[in-house]
Amino acid sequence: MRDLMTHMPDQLCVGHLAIDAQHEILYALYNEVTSSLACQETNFDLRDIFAGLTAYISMHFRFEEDLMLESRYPGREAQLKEHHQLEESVRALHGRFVQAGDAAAEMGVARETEVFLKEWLGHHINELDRELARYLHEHGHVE
Amino acid sequence: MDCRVIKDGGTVYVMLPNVFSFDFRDEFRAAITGNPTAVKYEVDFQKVERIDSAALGMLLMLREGARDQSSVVLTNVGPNIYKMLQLVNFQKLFKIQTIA
Repeated sequence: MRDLMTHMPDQLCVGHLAIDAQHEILYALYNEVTSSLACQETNFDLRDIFAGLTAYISMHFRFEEDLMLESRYPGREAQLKEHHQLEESVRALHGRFVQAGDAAAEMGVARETEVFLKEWLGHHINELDRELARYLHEHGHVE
Repeated sequence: MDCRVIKDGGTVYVMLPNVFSFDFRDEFRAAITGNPTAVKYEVDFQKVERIDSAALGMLLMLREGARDQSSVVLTNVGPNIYKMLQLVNFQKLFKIQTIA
């Protein structure tokens, strides 16, 4: 069973304890989507994974946005815009999943979600969140 | 050490092992699936000394699968584990009862 779990690659650690810990959870939920696609019978309900993912992404973004506000982060507007777009994309995928109608359509949306998450986790963390973490350290906003 | 489960009327008590990790995924999944929708969950952290991100993800899925999100309570959470739960902002998502 352990081989089904891929740990978040070290390259995705940004050096901020709380942000990294929250990204680890998002990565774990990505793993759940992946393993559900491999074998649905032995996995958590995809509906619960989707709902958990949507809820945790929102919570995580609000956490980062509070940090940006408190630290007067100059890249806040760009980050907020991307958060909004990402949340919309995840919400749209979730909506399509809920309304899929049959198992095959659900799996199709789940596959799209898997690809979307992998790309997003790499891009968003490596580019935007790494910059935020660097700023927080430089300005003494350590966890 | 196993993940122990007691189903008592409308409440499912899940006693977590000292290391709550991906290795307990199947046991945890079995504990929370197939229960009536009206059930409440008390997840007992008394023995937990370590927890990984996969296990935290499992708690999120439990929260989503439950009747309503307030019907999941994390109990007997020790100070170190509570710090971990705060780090990942779980205090905003779960009702958490710490060890007095």
